[in-house]
Amino acid sequence: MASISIPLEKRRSALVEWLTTVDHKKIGIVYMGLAFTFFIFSGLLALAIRTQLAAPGMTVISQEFYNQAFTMHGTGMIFLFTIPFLVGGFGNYFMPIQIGARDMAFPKMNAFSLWLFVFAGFVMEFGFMLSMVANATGWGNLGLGSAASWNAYVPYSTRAFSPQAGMDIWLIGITLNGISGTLGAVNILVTVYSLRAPGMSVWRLPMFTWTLITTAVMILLATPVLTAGLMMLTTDRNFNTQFFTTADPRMWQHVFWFYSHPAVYIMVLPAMGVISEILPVFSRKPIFGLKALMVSTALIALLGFTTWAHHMFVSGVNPLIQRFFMFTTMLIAVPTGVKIFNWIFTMWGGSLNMKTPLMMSIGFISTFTIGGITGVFLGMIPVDQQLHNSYYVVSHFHYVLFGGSVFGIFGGLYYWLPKIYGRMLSDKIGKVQFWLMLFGFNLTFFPQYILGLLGMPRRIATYLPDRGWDIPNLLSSIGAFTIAFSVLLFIINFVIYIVGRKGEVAGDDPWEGNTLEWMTQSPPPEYNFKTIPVVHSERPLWDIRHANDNTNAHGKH
Amino acid sequence: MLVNTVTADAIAINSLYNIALFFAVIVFFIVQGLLLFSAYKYKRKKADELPAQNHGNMKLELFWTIVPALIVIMLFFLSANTLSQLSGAGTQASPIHNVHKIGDDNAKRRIEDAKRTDMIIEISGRQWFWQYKYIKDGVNHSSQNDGELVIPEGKVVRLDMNSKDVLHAWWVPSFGGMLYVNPGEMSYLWIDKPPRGSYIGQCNAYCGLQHAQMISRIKVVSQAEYDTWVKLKKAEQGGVATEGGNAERGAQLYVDGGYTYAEAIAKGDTKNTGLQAQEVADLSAYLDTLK
Repeated sequence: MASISIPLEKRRSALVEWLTTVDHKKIGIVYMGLAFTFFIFSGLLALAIRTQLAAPGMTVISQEFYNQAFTMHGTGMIFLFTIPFLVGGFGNYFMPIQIGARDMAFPKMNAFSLWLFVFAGFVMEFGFMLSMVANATGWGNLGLGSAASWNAYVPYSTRAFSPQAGMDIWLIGITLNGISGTLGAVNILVTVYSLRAPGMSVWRLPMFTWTLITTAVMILLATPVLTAGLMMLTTDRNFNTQFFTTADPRMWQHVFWFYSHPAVYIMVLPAMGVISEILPVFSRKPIFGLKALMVSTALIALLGFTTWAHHMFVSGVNPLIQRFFMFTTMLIAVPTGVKIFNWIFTMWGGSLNMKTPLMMSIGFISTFTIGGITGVFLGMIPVDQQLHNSYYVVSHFHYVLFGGSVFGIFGGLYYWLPKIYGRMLSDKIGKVQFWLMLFGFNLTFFPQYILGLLGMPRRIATYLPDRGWDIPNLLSSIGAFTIAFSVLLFIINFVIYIVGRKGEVAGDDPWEGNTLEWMTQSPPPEYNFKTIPVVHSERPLWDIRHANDNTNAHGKH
Repeated sequence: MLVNTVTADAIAINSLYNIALFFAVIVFFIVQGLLLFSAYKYKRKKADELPAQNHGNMKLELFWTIVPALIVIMLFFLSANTLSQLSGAGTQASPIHNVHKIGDDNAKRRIEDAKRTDMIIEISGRQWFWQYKYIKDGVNHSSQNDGELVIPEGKVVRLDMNSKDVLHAWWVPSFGGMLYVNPGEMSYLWIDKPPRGSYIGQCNAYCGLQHAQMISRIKVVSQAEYDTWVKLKKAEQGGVATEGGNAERGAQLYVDGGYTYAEAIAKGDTKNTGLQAQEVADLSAYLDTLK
């Protein structure tokens, strides 16, 4: 072996290393970095939308661009930010360490998933960006953007009504992204199945890992359905097949929502996992009702597959079938409520370390609850017949996906970035960011409930002054800019305290964590652990810290 | 909480909403109260304090599983009950499916039996306006140029809707209810005895570039005003003699004197309009109210 002992670190430049890495941690970082970039870009589109709607009859952006902007805001946030950030980013980086593995089960497939995601994101956004620049500079309409909204309802998305190439580009981008996600889900499931540390039984899996595998099951069952549907729509548009063009008008809607309703849980379950990690650590208590939380996660995943047609209560679905979907939709509120109470009672009687990750988690519970409650309203068919597609719905799902997922993601960032980079973020800036974001979020989205009740439909580029929608819209737009400012604070925090190395050195375990990622160095070495740890409870690090006192964690209480 | 609900359907939906809101507010205050209380009360006071290691409480957990389950099951039955009260609902056991393929006569018959109907208006959704066809009165009209859907007060109006291109959705919040309008299919909604007034609705299924401009203005008037309006519309469409003539042609149709029907009415012309003197005077007065 001596003849080929070229030191690894000299063999490749940093750039080549990042482009060819199969290390789950580096792959996770690339996922996070890119997904966050898409978050910023899609957020800027939201600002364009909110500027246009700040007052009636505005013409800040053209109606054509508006329609592309809300399409790309939605698809960008869902397919290029929330899912890849939580599953590809946090999932890739932390799940293997949490279960005491040295990498994913299929590191090369992991790298393939990543670069397929990068390519898909590029395909989805690049045509749109070119079109945007061409419009702004007066080159004319290139037609490379999609304006069919994220649900791409047939027949509007067929060639007859959306002839531009942008529609095909968008379809191909989402298709590729779906393949990437499906491969990633296989990788996650195989990794957790086969690479757990000794002693890590199912009930000892960290909550984040547990939510990640339920998410992976959902991705595996749901995403191929959408991918197939997208391919069929693409061939309808280009090769004159008749999958959707001559089918029942609801056919596409069934295929689309069979994926896209579970997608909501795909986006929110891992974020629930993140705060289920943070809450017990910052309360210095075990999570309340671990088994109930794990079972309710699985129940949400299961029930999540039986509710899709509640998006079609006014599409003309058979009314008896609608009643079935109303029942399942309302039932899913129960396991969700179980989670909320379990989280609160994790804090109850604890010793709360009021740092940014915990505050973000409290923000999650508070705002997500409002989103969950209004979901029950929309699940009631008569109410949905009034509020379907209105701003009430827009507000509802932002309370779930921003109030839930985004608060969860920021909580996770403040919690885990010290592990990734070995330095702490500023807690002061973090708290200012939290309060601004919470205020801005409610200012943006609460008035949208009122707009929905006042009859404002979603996806309209402008409105007339005689509708009484002016003030809520103005408030909402002010809120949107407040959110943008709070995100800017996070970027400043990151640049100064982590990139600029101003932050305190984190050490292995700055938070008194419970799970195995806090056992190794910050940042973790490439092999994660020198020796694979042995696990005796769901809080292996607590066991080590309290080995000599009588609060032994895996005893009965 | 819904605003300006005027028909029985809208009022029924509103009261269901309010019942749900009652429980929602209770749940909201319990959750936010517990959350804020524990965040305030249990802040870490000493760096080394160690709280009791409580892993859960089966009774509490059963409580917050069963009580919410009972609430949502109750809301489910209330919703099903409200559904069966809405216009053309049928019964709970066999609800009316108010969408069917064009040409499905059995389904159409069930719709016709579902609710007593005073008048039928056929509505076609198009990118990006609504076309209205009053079946009995022979009026053709559209939402373009702020065109209003004029209906007489206190009547049960059935909307027979269809799309000529992509999906649209009919929604007038004050009347309650919404339905997609699909190509190749008929969708039915009822406006149940609306009171006089002006109402506004909007297409609520994204349908392309000018989706935001696909607005429907509805004016509910007295029977007398409605009758006058019908005569006027017919006059515009080519006079009583050419009943059923189309609107585009009617707008350009000149009478013998070299002016339009509307102008003929304004001039009190009975000969060219073919109307009685009193009718011309009524129409003329109505025209003035529009100016």
